[in-house]
Amino acid sequence: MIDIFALKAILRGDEDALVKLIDKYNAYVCAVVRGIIGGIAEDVEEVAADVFFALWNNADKPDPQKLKAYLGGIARNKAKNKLRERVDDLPLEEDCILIEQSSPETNLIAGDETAAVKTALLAMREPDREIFLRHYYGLQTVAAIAGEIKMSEAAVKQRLTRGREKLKINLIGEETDREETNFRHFGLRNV
Amino acid sequence: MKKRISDILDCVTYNPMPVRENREADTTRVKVLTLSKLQASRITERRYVPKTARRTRRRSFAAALVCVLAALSVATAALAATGVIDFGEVYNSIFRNDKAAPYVVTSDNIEEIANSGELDIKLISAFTSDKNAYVQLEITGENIPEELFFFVHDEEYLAFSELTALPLTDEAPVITRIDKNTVRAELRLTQHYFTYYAFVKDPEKEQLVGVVMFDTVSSSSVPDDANAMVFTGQWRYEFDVIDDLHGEMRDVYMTDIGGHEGAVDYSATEVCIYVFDLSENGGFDFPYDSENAVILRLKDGSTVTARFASIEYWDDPSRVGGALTYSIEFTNPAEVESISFCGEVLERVERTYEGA
Repeated sequence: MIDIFALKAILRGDEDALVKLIDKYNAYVCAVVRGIIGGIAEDVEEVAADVFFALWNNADKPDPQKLKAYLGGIARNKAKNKLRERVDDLPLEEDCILIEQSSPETNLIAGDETAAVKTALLAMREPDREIFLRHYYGLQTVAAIAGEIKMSEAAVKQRLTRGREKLKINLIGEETDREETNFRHFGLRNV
Repeated sequence: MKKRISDILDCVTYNPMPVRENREADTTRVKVLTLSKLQASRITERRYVPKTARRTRRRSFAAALVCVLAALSVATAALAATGVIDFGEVYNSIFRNDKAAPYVVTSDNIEEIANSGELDIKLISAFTSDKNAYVQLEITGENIPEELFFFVHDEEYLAFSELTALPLTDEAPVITRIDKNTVRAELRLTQHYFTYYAFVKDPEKEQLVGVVMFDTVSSSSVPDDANAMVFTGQWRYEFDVIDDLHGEMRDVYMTDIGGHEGAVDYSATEVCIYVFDLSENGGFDFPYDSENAVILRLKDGSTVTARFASIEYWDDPSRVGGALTYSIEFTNPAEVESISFCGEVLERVERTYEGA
């Protein structure tokens, strides 16, 4: 069944359509989840079921042409949450970055942050971008990335450092711009 | 302000994620779990039924089912033994074609087929959702064929229509392929039955190789009953009982009547212990007071006490006796090593089998 028809059928409440999409995408979803939380089959299947349940409840949201990517995104986020239930810190290189916060209003503009992140990613060159996304988005370990793309762990870490710098520059720049916008909005001037 | 990069990237869609797809992912289990969540989300909007009431219903059903099947087998055996019915003649008169003979299922040979030893067919899970029942089976043994044909019937059809001789030649089978790696097969059944009997035919050998029985309680028109109760896996455990230990008591069974229900919250296994009495003299008193609790001794040395649940007396010409039912919330009946009852220890017989 073509994805667009399956999604429309799900919106009509057709469980068979969901079952067909599970048949089609379960291997991919499970692979994404397994890559993040490890190989305990019961946990992987539980998270995968959460992913397809989310699809059932949000069948109007994905672009039918990009359903695989949509499911991959949900799988990644749910697997990340599952992993957080087990460990306080994800096994990532310097996951936290420090961003200056000058006013509460800056937190409210989430759309700007999304744009800044996308700009930062576009500013990265390959393979830096792939390494950055594999690590911080796909939550793959440095060793796993190094093994898969045939690069030393030191080289992977170096590229992650460059990526973090680019992201920070874009976010801070965005914060600064936002600050100025807020000051202008409230009739103030940044001094 | 500290922010996690991994959280900041939540807004990104990365297409495609560079992963190696896992071909061994258990799609059936994901389907079962997903559909369980769908049904649970619906059930939360329905009228609340106390869990104890549901358990009582399940217990009653299980007890009734066991009694019906036991009565049928006893009655059939009695009729055959006394010569009232000659099943051989009945079969021959119906099935003149010799080739049809292997496809005939009778109340006598159900157990024979189930225990033929050619293939061990184990029910892993079953779940009803909306219009369908989803069943997962594990098939082990030698010479497992590529695919199996399932002829599915409901209990009522078997019990009241064609119990003594069920031809499977003209039935439209549900065909399923067996995954060679997981030795599992899945069925999607569109019939709405209360109890399914799946007669399994090996299309290569042209003969029946197994019987699988499972029960579902499903009705889209009665929301409260929209759940599935499944006799899971090798669900009956037999314990050795010395005949003269108690004059009346002959058998003790542990029966797993738990399994998948529509609501996700019912995942624990409920074990009932039936104490059957098949003696001919009757006039007995079951020792069901609190001093005669049933105590399970587990393989790790710990003990669990079962609660008295119900007592039932039978009184018909072919059978006089009754059954005591004890129930307990317990997750793994296979871990039970022995049962203590009335101060006597009943060791578990090292065999398990499916069937009632």
